[in-house]
Amino acid sequence: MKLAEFYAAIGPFLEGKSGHEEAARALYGEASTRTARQAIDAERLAIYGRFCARHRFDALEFTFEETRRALVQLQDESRWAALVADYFRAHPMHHAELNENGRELPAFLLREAGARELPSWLCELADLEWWSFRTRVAPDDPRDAADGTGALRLGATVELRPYAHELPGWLEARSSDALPDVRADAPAPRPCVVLFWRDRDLDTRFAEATPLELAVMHAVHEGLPLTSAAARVGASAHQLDETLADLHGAGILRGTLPLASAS
Amino acid sequence: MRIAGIGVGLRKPFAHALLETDRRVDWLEVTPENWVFFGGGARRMLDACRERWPMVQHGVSLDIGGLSALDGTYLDAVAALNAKLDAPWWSDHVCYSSVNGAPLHDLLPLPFSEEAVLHVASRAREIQSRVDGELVLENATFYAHMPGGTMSEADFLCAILDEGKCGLLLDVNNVYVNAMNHGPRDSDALAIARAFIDRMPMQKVRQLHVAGHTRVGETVIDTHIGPVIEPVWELYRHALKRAGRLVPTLIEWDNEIPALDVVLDEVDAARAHAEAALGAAAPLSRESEKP
Repeated sequence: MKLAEFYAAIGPFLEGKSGHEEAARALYGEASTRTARQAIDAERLAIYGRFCARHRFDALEFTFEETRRALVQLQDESRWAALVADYFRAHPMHHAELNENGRELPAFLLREAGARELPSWLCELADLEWWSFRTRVAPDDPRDAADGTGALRLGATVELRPYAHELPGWLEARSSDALPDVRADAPAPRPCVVLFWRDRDLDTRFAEATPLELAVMHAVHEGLPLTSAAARVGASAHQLDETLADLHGAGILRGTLPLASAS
Repeated sequence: MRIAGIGVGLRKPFAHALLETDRRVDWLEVTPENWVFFGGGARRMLDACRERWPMVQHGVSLDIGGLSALDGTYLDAVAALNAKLDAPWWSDHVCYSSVNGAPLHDLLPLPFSEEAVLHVASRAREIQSRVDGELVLENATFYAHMPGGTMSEADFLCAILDEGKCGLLLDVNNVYVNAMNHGPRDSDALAIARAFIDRMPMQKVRQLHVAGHTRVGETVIDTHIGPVIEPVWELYRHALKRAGRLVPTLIEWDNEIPALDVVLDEVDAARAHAEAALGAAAPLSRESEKP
């Protein structure tokens, strides 16, 4: 058997597109014609199918731990397994870094939500988990290293994502020691903007952003006066100072911190 | 950067503890897939370890036996880290790890055929023209013979090393696992494994790996779980005697990873086995390894 034929015979099996028996027949012939050695090899071929399938789960279950947990609670393990298989049929692995292969899962869930009877918040949860991962691994920006100098600016890892459900508080309650009866089964439907960033210790953070925080970040990003940004959301100079200090202390804003009254 | 003595694989579960230990570790092996695409804490950890220990890369995504085009992004990342590490070599496995251009994230066995030798060797030469540092290939485990094979595993491996101008990473545990899985029933797996090691070109061996494994039914799986068992230590001593030198040795413990001290007990054990095998030829003290 030439290499090209070998790969054609084994590839679909390893990718989860065909079964073990089919691959064993293509590689080792019909069961009745196999030598003792071939019979063992054909049987052990299944090990590689299991290994490759396990890696497909691993590629999603580290990044999308809460998404998986919620889906299994809403449905069951078999529906999660089916989703993993279908996802990789639609989006074959493409990257040497295993988790990077989960990049399209939020969009895939959004497309599939209706057919799979998934609530819309589950798609948002996957998006939140993906951006949490992206924030954690984002490349380092030398401007963040020169932290206390230069003009006020957003940290390089800052990302904002709008959701229709209040996910951060729900996730916190879900992972806390709160009594089960105070944990909601689903996040409350309420528009919120979630802010992702890496702090100065390089730890990943996310939190719901307040209107004043959003106004300040927008003004910093666009180079607009901070005082007018605060006024637009009805904030006082004192509130602006506090917010600037909070954002800077958290590592969301970098550079030289001005006094609001001077900005 | 000189790689010598006994090292461990840099694994995230014990990376912080590793930086704090005062126990002896001579060098580290890093799996590029788990580090080179990451900024933030992972990058900081890698840099901190790089300042303290000599490091070499040991990849799992080279896909040297595959038909897919070589992954340029991956090779560029490996090349960049190699330059940063100033490493004398970098390694991956004699296997394939993708089909139809899609990575499978596993180390999959090739048919032991002349065609596969030429294919792997050709890709090895291409890779070495793109990445500085000697490419070193590891003998992989295989649970099933792939159809089309016409050679023994030892002949296959030696031919690839010759044709591809590569070094060898001799994984002693893999030799044992393959002997256990493919030797005739009731045969002496140790004798089979020793014979395999005797066929290897020891002058080309840059590194040794030792690890634990797991029996699952009738098959022994290369899980890198648990301490190294005595038969593998025996093979390790045999390999060192054949080499006549302390080949840089790595303890692999990649799953069900225990507290760092348990892994470092294996490092100490490897050092003791090396001393038993080589006696005065083993440069075992820190001082004796200083240039």
